[in-house]
Amino acid sequence: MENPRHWRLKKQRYALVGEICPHCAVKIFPPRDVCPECGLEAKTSYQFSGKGKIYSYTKMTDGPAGFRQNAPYFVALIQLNEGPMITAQLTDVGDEEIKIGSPVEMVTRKLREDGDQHGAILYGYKFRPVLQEVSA
Amino acid sequence: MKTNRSSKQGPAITGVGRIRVSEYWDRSISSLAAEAIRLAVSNAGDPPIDAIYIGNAFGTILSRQANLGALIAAQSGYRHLESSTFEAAGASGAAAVRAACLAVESGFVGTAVAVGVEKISDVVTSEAEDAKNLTLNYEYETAQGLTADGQSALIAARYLKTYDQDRSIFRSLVLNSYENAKKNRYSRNNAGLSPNVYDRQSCPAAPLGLFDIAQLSDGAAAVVITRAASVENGGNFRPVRILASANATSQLSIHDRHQILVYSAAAESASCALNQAAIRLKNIDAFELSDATAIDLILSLEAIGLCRPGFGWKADRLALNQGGGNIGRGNPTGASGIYQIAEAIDWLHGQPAPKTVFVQALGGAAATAITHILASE
Ligand SMILES: [Zn+2]
Repeated sequence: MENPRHWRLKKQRYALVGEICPHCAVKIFPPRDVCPECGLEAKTSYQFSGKGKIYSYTKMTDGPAGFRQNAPYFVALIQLNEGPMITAQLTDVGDEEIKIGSPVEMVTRKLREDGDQHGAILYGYKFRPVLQEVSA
Repeated sequence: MKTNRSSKQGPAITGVGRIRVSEYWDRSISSLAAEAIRLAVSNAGDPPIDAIYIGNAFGTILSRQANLGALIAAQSGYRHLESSTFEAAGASGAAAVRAACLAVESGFVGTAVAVGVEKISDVVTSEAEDAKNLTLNYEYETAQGLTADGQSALIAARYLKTYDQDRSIFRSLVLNSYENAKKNRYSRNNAGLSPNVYDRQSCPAAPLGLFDIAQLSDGAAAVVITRAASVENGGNFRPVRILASANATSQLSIHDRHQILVYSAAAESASCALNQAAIRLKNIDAFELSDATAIDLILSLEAIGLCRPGFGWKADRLALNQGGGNIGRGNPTGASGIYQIAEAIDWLHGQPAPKTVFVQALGGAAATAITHILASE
C-alpha cells in the first residue's frame, strides 16, 4: 500500500536527507522546499549526521495499526546536532538507560508491518544510545 | 482595526441543542446531527434556516461517509439548503461556529446552524484510536509509531522535566473535571471519579495516565446563529452575543515548533479575540478551555496568560470548565467545540451568571486554536 509515498520518502527515511537554506543557512528536516525561518525557497539537499540528543520521550504501551504487535516501545523527540528536532523511535534500549539529554545516533530498522497485511514492511530511521567512550 | 461595537452589532446565538455525550451503537452519524439541529432550531423558536455548517473530524474514515452537508441537511428536514463540513480536528465544531459567524456577518446568510457531530462507535475501539492519529503528520510522526496521545505525552514529559515536577500535577485538574461533569446532564460521566481509582490508573502514554486523556465519545451539539441586530427578544431563549471569533494555527508537528511548551496558536487566537472584543483578559468572568489531555489544559492556561509558565496546573481559583471539559464530559472530537459553547451558554444563563465567557477549542496538539468570546446581552 502507498508504494509511491514510501518511494518518495526513502532518502529521508534511510539517509536523513533534508535541506539547507541558501539564504540563512538554517538546516531543515523534514525537507519542505521553503525555509521555516526566513520563508524563502530552500531546495539545497543536506545530509544530517544522525547524531543528536533526547529532548523528550514516552513509552507507548499500545501502538497504532502496524505497530501494535511491537508494543511496548519508546518514541522520542530527538534534537539533531545540526538543529532540527525529529520524532523517532528509540531502539536497543532498556527502561533504565533512557534519560532526557542522553546522546543518541541514527540506525536503520524495521519501522512497521503493514497494518492491513498487504505485505509492505516499512524500514527507516530509529535512534539508539551512543555508547560512552571510555578514555584511556 | 478597532471597532466599537454597539450592543446590537455582531452575531448572536439564539438557540442551543445537544444530545448526551455517550456511545450510540444503534444510531448513525446523520441521525445524531439531525437531532441536535432540530433541538437547536426548536429552542430558537423555529426560525427559517439558510445554512447548516457542520464540524466533524472523523466521519470520512469512521463512518466512511463524505459530503455530510448534503446528508445531514436532508436528514434534518431541509431541502436545497446550503450545507458543508469544516474540519480542524478537535476544533472542528468551533470552526463551524466561526463559519456561521462569517456567513451571517457577511450578509449572504440570514440565519445559520453550526452543528458539531462525531460518531466514534461505528468501529471497534482500536480503529477509533487510529482515526484520532490522523491529526498527526502521517509521514514523520505516525510513520514512527507515534499516536495523538503519545504526542501529548512527549509534551507532558518535557514539561515535567523542565519544571522539575512529577505526574501528580495532573491529579487535581482531572478530579475537578470529573466533579464538574457530575452537574452536566449532557455528560458521559455523572458519577465523578474517586481519587483511589485515579491513583490506580494505568499509564498508556507515560507520564499521561488513562484518566488524564479524555475519552473518545459520540456526540452532537448545535447552535443557531444570526445577526444580533435582527434578534427579537422575548422568546424562551435569552440570546447570547458573540463578541469575538478568531482562528490561529501553528506547526502541525510538535517537532517543528521552536518552543514545544508554548501553545503559540492558543496565545495568538486568544489575543486576537480579546482585541476584537475590546476586552481585557482580567475582565473575562469564566473560561471553557480545551483538554483532550490534561497537558493541553495546562499549556492553554499558560498560553492565554491565565497562569505563568510552569504554573498552569495550579489554576485553582479560576472559573474553569464548568461542564467538565472533554476529560469530565467525554470527548466527541468534532462536536466538542460546540459542547464548549453550549456549556458557556449554560454558564451565562445560570445563577450566579457571569457576563462574559471565553471559549477556546484546540485541534491536534494545539496546532489549531479557535476562540470565541460570548456575552449575555
Ligand atoms: Zn532561510
